[in-house]
Amino acid sequence: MSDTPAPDLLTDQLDEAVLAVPGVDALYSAAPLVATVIASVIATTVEAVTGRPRVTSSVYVAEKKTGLEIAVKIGVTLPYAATDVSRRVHDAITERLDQTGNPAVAEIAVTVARID
Amino acid sequence: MISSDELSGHTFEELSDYLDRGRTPADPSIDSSPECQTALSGMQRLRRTHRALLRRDVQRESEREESWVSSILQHINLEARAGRDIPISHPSPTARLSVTEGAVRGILRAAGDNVPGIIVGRCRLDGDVANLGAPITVRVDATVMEGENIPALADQLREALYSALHQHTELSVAAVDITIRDLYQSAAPRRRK
Amino acid sequence: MTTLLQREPAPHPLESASDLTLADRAADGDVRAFEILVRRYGPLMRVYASRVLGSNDEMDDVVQESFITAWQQLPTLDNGAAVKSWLMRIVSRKSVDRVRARRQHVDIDLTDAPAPAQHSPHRLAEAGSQTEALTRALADLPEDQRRCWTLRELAECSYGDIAEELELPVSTVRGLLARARKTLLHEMEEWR
Repeated sequence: MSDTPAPDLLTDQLDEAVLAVPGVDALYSAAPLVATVIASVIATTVEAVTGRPRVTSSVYVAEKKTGLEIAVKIGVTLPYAATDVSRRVHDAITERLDQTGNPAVAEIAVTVARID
Repeated sequence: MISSDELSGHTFEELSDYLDRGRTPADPSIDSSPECQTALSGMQRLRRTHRALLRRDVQRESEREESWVSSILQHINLEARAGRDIPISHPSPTARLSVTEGAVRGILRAAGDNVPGIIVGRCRLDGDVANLGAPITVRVDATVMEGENIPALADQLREALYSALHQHTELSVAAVDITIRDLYQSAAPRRRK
Repeated sequence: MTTLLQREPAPHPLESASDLTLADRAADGDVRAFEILVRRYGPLMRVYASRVLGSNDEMDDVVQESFITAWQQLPTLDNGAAVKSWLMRIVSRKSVDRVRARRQHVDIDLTDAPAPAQHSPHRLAEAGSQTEALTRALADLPEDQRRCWTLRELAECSYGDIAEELELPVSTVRGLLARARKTLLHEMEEWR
C-alpha cells in the first residue's frame, strides 16, 4: 500500500490528471485570493504543438483535520459542456487519489471559470 | 489682438461658450457682428488645426508596435467578473462542482454571436442561482442589424440561449427576456489595398 | 500557372460594434470586447497622456493603469455609450497624478505655472507649420487651462463632465476654456 505523496508532488499529479480530461483547456489558480493591487489570473494552457501542459498554476491542495481539501478552477473549450467536464474532472481527481494511497477527502471543488 | 470692446459688447468668454453650444439658440447680436464672427471663425480654425494635429498624433500612436495591448490584457483582473457560483450536481457528498456566472454570461454572448444579425450585450441571471431547482429568469440586451426581422431573430436567439443554458448548467430557466436596445448598420466590407 | 488568392482575415463582427455594445459586454466580462476598446481608444489616450506628462516616458504606464482601472470600474458606468469620454477622464486624472507626484518636493502653484516645455518631445528646432505652432502653444499654456482645453477638444467632454473632473464650478471651466482659446489664437496669429 503506497502512502499519499506530499502535497507538492500530489499537486503535480493532480494537475496532470485534470489537464488530461478532454474539454479542459486551461487551469487557473484556485488558491484563495490574496489581496493584491493587480490580481492577474495566470492560466495553464495545453500547448498545441507539443500537447504537453505548460504548468504555471495548480490544483489547490490543503490538508485539513477531516481530510484533503482540493480545489481546481478550469477553463472549458466548446463544444464540451461545463456540466460533463466538471464531473469528469472531479472523477479524474478521485481516481488519481485512489491510485496514490486513497487519503481521506473533505471536499473536492471544481469551478468552471471560462467556457470558450 | 482681440479685446472685449471690439466684440460688440460681448466678451470672448461668451463667444467661446456660444461656439461650444453649437451656436444655438441663435443670438442675432453675435451672428450679425463682423467682429464676433471673426473671433468665432478664429476659434473654429483653431479647432480644425487641432484636429489635424490630433489625427497625425493618433495615427503615429496607432502604428506603434503592439506589445502595450497584450501587456494591458495580461494585467486585468478576470476574477472581478466571476459573479456567483452556479452549482452542478454530483452523486458524491464531498463534491462541490460549479460554473461561474461569468462563464455563463460568456456562453450566452457566444450563442448570440452564432446568430447572424444580432449581438448580445449585457446578461443577467435573476433568481437564486445557488439553489438547484430555483426558477431563474435570464435577461439579455441585444442589438439587431438594420433591416432584419426582429421577432424572428429574437426567437432564434432565445432558442440558442436556452440551448446553451441547458448544455452548461442545470438551471431551471423560467423565462428568457430579450430586450432589443438598438439597431446597428452592417459594417462596410473591407477593401484590399 | 496558379494564382494564389490571399484573403484578408475576416474582421471579428465585434470590431465595428458600437461603444455601447463593447462597454456592456466588457462590463460583463468579455475580454475580446475590452480589447477592441483598448485598440480603439488606446492611441488617443496615449496622445493625451503624453501631452499632460510632457513626454513619452511614463505614457505607457499611465495608459496601462488607466485601462486596468477601467476594467475594474466598467460595471459602474451607467451609460456605456459615454465610454470614450469616461476613459479620457481616467487617463487625464492619472496623468495629472503622475505629474503631481513628480513635483511633490517642489512648491509650485499648479494653477498658473506653465508646463515644463523643455521636456516636450514636440518641441521642434524650427516651427514651420500651423500644427507645430499649435503644439508649442499648447505646451506653454498654464496647466489648468490646458487640461480644460484638452478635455474639451481632445476628449470631447461636456462642461459638466469637465467641472466634475477638475472639481471646479462650470463657470470657472467656461472661463478657463475662453482664456486658453484666446491665448492659443493669439499665438497662432503670429504664424499666419
